[in-house]
Amino acid sequence: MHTPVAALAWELWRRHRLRLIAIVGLVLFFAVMYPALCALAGFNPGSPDALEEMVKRAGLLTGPSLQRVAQVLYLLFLACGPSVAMVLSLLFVTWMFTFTEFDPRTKDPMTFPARLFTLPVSTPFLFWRLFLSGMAAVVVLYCAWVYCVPQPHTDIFLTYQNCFGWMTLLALAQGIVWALAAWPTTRIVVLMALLFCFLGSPAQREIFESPYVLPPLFLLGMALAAAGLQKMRHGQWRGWAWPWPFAGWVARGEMRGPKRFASPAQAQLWFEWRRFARRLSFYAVGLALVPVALHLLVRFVAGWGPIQPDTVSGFVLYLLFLPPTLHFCFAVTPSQADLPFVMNRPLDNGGMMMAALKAAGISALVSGVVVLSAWWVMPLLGTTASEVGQAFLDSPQHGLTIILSLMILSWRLIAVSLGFTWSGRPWLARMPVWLMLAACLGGMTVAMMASDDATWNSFKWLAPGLLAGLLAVKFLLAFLAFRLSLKRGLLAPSAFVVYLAVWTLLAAALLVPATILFHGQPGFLSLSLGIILLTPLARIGFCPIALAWNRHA
Amino acid sequence: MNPSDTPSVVEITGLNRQFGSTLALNQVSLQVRRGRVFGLVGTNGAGKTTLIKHVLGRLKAQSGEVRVFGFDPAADPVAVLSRLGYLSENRDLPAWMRVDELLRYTAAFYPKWDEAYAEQLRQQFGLNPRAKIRTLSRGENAKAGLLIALAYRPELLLLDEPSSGLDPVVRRDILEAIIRTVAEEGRTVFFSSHLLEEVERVADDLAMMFNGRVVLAGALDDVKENHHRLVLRFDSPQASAPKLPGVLSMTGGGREWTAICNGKRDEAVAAAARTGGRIVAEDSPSLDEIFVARAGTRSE
Repeated sequence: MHTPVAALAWELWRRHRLRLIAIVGLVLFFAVMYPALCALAGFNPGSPDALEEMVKRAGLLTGPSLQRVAQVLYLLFLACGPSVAMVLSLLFVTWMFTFTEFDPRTKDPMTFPARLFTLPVSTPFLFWRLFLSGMAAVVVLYCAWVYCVPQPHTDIFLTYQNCFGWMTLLALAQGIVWALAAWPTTRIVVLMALLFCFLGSPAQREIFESPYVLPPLFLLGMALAAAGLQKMRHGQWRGWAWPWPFAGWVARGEMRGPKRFASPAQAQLWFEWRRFARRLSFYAVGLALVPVALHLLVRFVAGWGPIQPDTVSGFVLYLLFLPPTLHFCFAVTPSQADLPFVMNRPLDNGGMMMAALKAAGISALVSGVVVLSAWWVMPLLGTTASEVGQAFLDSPQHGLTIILSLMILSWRLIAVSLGFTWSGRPWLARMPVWLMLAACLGGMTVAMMASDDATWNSFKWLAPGLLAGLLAVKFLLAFLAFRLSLKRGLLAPSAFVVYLAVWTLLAAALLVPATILFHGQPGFLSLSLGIILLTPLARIGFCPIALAWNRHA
Repeated sequence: MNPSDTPSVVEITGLNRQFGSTLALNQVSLQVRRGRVFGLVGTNGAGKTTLIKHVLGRLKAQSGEVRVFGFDPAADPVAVLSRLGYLSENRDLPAWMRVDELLRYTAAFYPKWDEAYAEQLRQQFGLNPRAKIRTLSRGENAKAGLLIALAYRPELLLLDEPSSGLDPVVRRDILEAIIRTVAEEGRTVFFSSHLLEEVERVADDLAMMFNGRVVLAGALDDVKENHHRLVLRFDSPQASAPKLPGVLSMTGGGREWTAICNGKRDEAVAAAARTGGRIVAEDSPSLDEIFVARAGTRSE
């Protein structure tokens, strides 16, 4: 490397070489193999009716369920594969040429490396080097996709076959990332808005075709990027000097704790609340109530409505999935930053675990209450309460049962992941994701079995025995885990008794309504056994042991 | 006798630790006596932090034994951690907390937390109680960590590189805090450092580590007494460094050479005379010189 240009190019290659090799591999695969695969399937990607043809063929598929699912997925791959791969690879190149990296000190995932500013190169050199090489990379990759790979004729993806559009996206992304470097949150919001406009705006075809939109945006992005890099280098832009306007409200609303904590357990609960549970609750409140508020604005200010039944169903589904999704996402990507600090406190592992479980319980409760509130507000949108209910439910009891299950499920997703993520072993920390995938696959398998009466009847006959066997294993593992935790002094006996009481209450909280609603119906026994099986016990017993692996490696 | 009443606060015997193929600690044995300041010095990667993590219970002994107040810190962390104040090399404080929250939170774990002393230290360190940890400078972060380690007057203060990367003013504050801790009866300090003049200033006992082994341990006064710096002059230029028994390092060239020796002074003088050299100057080497001589001997 004899020149700064070569050194910067090498750095880009070194940081992203695996991803770049994967992109080249994708282009080669689609250039060489895709036409052959299309020919084998009798699919003509150049036909103007390619997508409609695919849909028709999917409707004509017959045979066992599993085979049908595989065939539909294959047709989907033929119809959309090249276009999706093209969009994703171009988005990656756009991100790559913003030249940002994760900063372990500030935890900012998109920091422009300050070390480049200590090199003896001018800012214009840095700007033009990154700008021009980025543009060249976009053009080369775009041409490779469009001219070497036969792209299927689908209206959706034709939109993105505009090279200057991608160049403009890169210029704007560089401009936003560099110009707003001092305002990380604002930058993410503007970037997301840009991506939404680019990928999801309904008017994009017109935008791409208009000579008055893209060229000025391109120039604007370029100017912003050049100015941003200059200002960043000399520290001329700083973060907002005034306090966040909602800081006072948040401070009043948050759980600030007493002047002096009564016990270590209380202090630890406060710590876990502040560490993650408060954030989860705020996200749940924001993500549930903001869309409701927007719907209300549209209804009462703009006078549009009433809300369509399909939208009601979609919105109810969104609200139902929101708390478990938030809790699951947190559970599988926990911050490990504060663990060393906590592990140096004189607190046993069981105490740490109980505090985390309680904090997760509070966030699950808050999320459930928020969803319930949003649900109750929905009739104001012009639909009736029964329409909201009928979207998924037969009776109000069903609704309460669902909300209760939702809270317990949200809490459970954190509770059962705790042992894995606290173990300090990366392979174990990834286990909740694999378990979730396995659960989804299991669900799909059961759904497919339900389509065949003979198989389904056999399954229904076998299910109680299978669940009872699993329950026996669960209780045995729980006994061993709790015994070891107690024997090694990782868990206080009082904490064990409290958790057993909580476990009984949780199982009863689901079993009682299930008994009221489904007693005497076929499958009730399996449902009851399933509820007991899903109420976490063995993994809670395992949690202090896993934490001990990490705490005393 | 209650295990926690032993004269040694920390007792390590034959401790080994291996990370993959790297032997991080090799047959480490040492004792930290009650009421003393124990300095642990060593090169980068010598195993100081690994040793401190064993004392803290964050690593379990693979072989050998670690006892703190007579307890195994990995088997009984609560008994050990409740009597020990720890300042980590990486500070490890939760970035989202404010200083006052950090104090309130930490106070809950220690019945002996001294509110007035904590406030006095906070003011002395110039920490804003409303400031978030993430906004503190490196020095302020170290002070915040030291504050929560000191405010419950722990029996053992365990400091991992307490003044690493800090300016002289903050270093002085930290050293003063250590000295004050020692001045209070019965308190013990165990700290690791790269800054040998700092160790020389405050330590009563020291251990030098190199490649996972303790190469020298004892009272600082004894260590200094047993090491000598001799300046030798020869009548004719020497092509290579003269060989002397007990010499840890020999620097210089031509007619004049400087030797750092370990052992009795008279033996070193006699050996120098046998090689034909005259001693033209002699004094006690600094800890820095002893350390460099020891490290150099080991690396050869």
